[in-house]
Amino acid sequence: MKHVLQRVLLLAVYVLLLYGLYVGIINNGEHEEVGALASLICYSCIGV
Amino acid sequence: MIPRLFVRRWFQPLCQGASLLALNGYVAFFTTFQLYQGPLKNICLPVLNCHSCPAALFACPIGALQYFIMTHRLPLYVLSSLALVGITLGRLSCGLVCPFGFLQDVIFKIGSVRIELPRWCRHIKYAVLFGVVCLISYVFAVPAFCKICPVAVLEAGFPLALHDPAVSQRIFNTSTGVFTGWLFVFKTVCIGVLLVASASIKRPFCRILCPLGAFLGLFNRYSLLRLDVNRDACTGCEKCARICPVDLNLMFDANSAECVRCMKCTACDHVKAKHVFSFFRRENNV
Repeated sequence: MKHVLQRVLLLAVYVLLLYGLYVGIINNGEHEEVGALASLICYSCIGV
Repeated sequence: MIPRLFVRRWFQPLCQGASLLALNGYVAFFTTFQLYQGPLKNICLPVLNCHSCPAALFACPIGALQYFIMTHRLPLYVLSSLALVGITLGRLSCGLVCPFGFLQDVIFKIGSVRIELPRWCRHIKYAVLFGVVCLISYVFAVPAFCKICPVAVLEAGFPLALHDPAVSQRIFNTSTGVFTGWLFVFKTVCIGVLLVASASIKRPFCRILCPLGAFLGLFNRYSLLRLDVNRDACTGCEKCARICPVDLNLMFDANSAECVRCMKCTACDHVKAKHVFSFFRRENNV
């Protein structure tokens, strides 16, 4: 019973994370924002 | 059962070296003086590799996470992609992919003095994750971890200061003679201390400060890939503890958040790397 519950929980976590990824990419276009951010020089990273 | 390939001495350095080149493979910067701006930069790989590094091809997950926190939005894409890797592989990317982990491993092999880190030090990285990356970034709307990140000054600070006149002018303005690079100096001292410490302490940054390791480590105990220690058959030879890159005693700490999943300990016959579904088989349970 415990093992079945573990499998179900793991599956539920996967579904939740994939849904989060879907919303983040398809609905919000967050990946493009990340790309735009990462294409610029971060002066905080350099230390100026 | 996970292949025995992991226990080969050359396997981990080969993976780390290959990933170092794969993550930082944009050599065109040195002719164009422009960071890579292609579609790969949309991807956050679960390793601490600064995206301001002139050769970087991917985005830094902590930098991206901070950006969304700073703008008071939920970072669904970054969190979900990191958590997916975490729940599947745990901290495997720390052990086999992270370039800074590789650097620390290499320096540790050079050093001769060995110092053991106190156990309480491992909790600092959670303060860095929740305090610096989340709280300070949220409240003050600044990329707080980037300002103290020693990896960034090594990967981005030094190369850009040397190659980009605009950056070097921001550190030391030659026309006015004003030095404004105090943060750069601070970070340089930090990375110096860290690299010197790496010669005596196994992976000090990963164990004390890395917020990404702290995040991925939260999934270690529940991830699909886990370590299975046969405690009944253990002879107490401590071979696993000696070989461990983060000084873990597998009798007590197997699958703890500290384990970087390098899988070297699976060289011992009593330690096996298994995916979680093999644990469900009754005969394999410990």
